[in-house]
Amino acid sequence: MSVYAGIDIGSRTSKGLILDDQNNTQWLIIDTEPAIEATARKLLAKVLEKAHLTQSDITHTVATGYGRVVVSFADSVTEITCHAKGAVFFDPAVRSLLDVGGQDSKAIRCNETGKVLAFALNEKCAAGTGRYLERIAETIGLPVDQIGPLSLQCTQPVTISSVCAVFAENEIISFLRDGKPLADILAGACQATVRRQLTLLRRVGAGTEGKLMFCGGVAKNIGVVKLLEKEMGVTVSIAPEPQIVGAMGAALIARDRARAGQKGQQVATTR
Amino acid sequence: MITLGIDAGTKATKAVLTNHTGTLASVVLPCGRESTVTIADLARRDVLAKAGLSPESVTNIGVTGLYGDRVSFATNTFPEGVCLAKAMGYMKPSVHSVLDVGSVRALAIKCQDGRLTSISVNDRCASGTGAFVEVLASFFRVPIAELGNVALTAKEPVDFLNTCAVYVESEALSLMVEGKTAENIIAGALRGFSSRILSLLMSIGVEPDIAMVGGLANNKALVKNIEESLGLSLFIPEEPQTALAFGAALLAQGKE
Repeated sequence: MSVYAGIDIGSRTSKGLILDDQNNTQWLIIDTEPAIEATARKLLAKVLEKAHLTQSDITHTVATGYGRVVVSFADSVTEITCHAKGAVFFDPAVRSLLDVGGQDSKAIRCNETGKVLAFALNEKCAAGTGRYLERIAETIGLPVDQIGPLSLQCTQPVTISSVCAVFAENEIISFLRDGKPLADILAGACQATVRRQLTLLRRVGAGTEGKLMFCGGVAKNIGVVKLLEKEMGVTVSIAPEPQIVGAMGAALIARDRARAGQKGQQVATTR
Repeated sequence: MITLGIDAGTKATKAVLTNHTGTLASVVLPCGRESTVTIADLARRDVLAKAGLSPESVTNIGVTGLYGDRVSFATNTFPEGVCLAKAMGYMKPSVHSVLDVGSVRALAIKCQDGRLTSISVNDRCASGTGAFVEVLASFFRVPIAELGNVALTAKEPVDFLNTCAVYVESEALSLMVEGKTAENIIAGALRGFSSRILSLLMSIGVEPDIAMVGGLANNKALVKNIEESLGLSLFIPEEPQTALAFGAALLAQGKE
């Protein structure tokens, strides 16, 4: 029994995925704790338990995400590489992707094997990231997963002029005081999020060829998805679980490396 | 002539009563959920009571600040930079550069003989405004007024990498897990902050003497960082928070 493990340590959540030679998977998402190595070990233990496997069944492990270098028991591969690999696995027609996570966002263009051709990253500023929407949800007093569905009920989206997540909060408090409908405020927030992403997407020439995949936690926000589709003029591709695309790519790379190790040569990702 | 100056800011409303001798009284009222005009009116009553004067004794009311235009009972509205220049011209004419760091915007001006000659504003990014410090204070549960004192006790300020005010919390948390002390983290964060607000001042050119106003001018660690970077002492008025309101009151003196 050979399985391969991919771990994606994000700022908010950590994703673990186990893959076998027949492309069966088992995965889990947990909150990232400040002690990163401990989070990675806990994550792996839990997903092994879910798969009814043990540590010794794992042939090779790859870690990615901002905490990857701290994970001593795995190879470290960049998120950019892993996300591209994972994206074309889930949808072979994908040639560009947008990943919006808890604290950063990235736009990537790739070829049919998932090889990265161009990428752009924002990790300095919370504007347009999951944290931006989280703060807005906190300010309004709603669970984050309600932002999307509620925003679709808007009649007239407000315009949030602040790019900054902190100042946007002040604007939203003003809107709430002025009695603006929640749906309109949330639609404004989703709009502001998409505006930030468009800059990144343009920079890499995303959406010009093949399909565009949207991944990361924010891809679960239907309001943001619909606005992105409207702005890009395309239907976006979304994986069954958008948050695990990176971990999927990491597991695929782990499998490639294990097979290359056995055969003594480079092997492209096979299905 | 007795005049009243009101600075309607985001976090606090400041009111200063003046006559030809200078300041008669001043108040700083924190803002809550009430409307701007309500709290401005409260500030007016408070400062009059403090000075033992009646509302009728006030000839002109000058207003400034982000929400100044909502203070309907004012007789004149003045831009913030103009108020700041006027206040400096009165308090310390040798000052030619001023930094004013508020909650949601930071301001740097150059002035000469009480007149504004140059201005630069940051209201785009919270990492260069008081909001950054508020997040820091809130995370460590230290009152903002105490933050500077805590930072001054630090022996080994950390290298605070993130500039974004939103990421302060996660970076501070990681540093704490690594075993860094609160005061070292706070000192490191404030150091990074001081260089950001200083760069706003540099953007219009620094010309001594240099002054700092606004609530954060009370933060001794921040002031120390800035003075060390500049190699100069800063002039800080006795009540740095009411400088703009004072300027508005002075300007209102000149209005019929």
